Amino acid sequence: MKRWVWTGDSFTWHFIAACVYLTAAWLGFDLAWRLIDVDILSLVVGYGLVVGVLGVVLARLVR
Amino acid sequence: MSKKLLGQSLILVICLVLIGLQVARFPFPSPAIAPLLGPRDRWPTEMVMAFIESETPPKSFLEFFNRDPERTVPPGGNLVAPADGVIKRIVRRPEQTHFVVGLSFWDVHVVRTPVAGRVLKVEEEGVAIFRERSETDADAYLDGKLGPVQKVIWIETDDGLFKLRLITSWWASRLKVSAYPGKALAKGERVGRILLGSSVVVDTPPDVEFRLQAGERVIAGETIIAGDLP
Repeated sequence: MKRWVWTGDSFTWHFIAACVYLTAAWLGFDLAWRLIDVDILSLVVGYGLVVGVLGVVLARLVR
Repeated sequence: MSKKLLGQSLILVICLVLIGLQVARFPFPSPAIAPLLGPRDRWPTEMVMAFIESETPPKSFLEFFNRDPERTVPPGGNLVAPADGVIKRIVRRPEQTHFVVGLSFWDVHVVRTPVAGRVLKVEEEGVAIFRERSETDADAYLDGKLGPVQKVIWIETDDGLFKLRLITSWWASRLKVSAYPGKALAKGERVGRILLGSSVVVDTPPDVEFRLQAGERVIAGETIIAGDLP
């Protein structure tokens, strides 16, 4: 039987980096929602686009 | 490998705690973003009301609330604002004018004398005294407050008698006056502090011409509210 072993490999680091990025994005959205005076739908769409594009760019850079 | 596991787990736990704090504190700001917000967003009205009810405001809010910045008092025979806030109303009567400044939770709560003079007396008036009066007499500066409490500083000047009223609600009832009878006051000098909310009113002789209107913001000791006294 194959035993599961924690390796902490490159994939894990990428997963953790994604978690950190999403956490920062989540808190950043909370901040933007409190500071920027626009309707919530525009904020979700605009902020989502920025976070999404930036996420893809960063993912390609670190791959 | 165990160090790596520990490090990776720690990062994930921090992320989870940050998200958890944000969700638990909603709609109030999470401690992670609060320092980046202005006072009104950092401590919204509902949050301040909860502080007051629980009587356990956090240290950061207390430090903010108790701030006492220096002010540059303009020279001349003008009148300066007695408190930071918004002018609620200017009520003119035959015998005197009431200049009413409303303070919000986020304003500096140090009260300054609008005019140089000598303190004649400091009166304390509670809810019972107000109830004995007619509404028309009281509502000029009470702005619909329930259970108002006030301290009135009588200031004698070369241009007549001025009264400075520090008003709060009975349940808050926290007024500190440092001025005392006989004390000579320089214009803009600190005379007291309202420890919670409310209003500061200047009663002036009727012939004082105010430069500002209701709705404008004023800064205690700095904003000129009336030109040279007649």
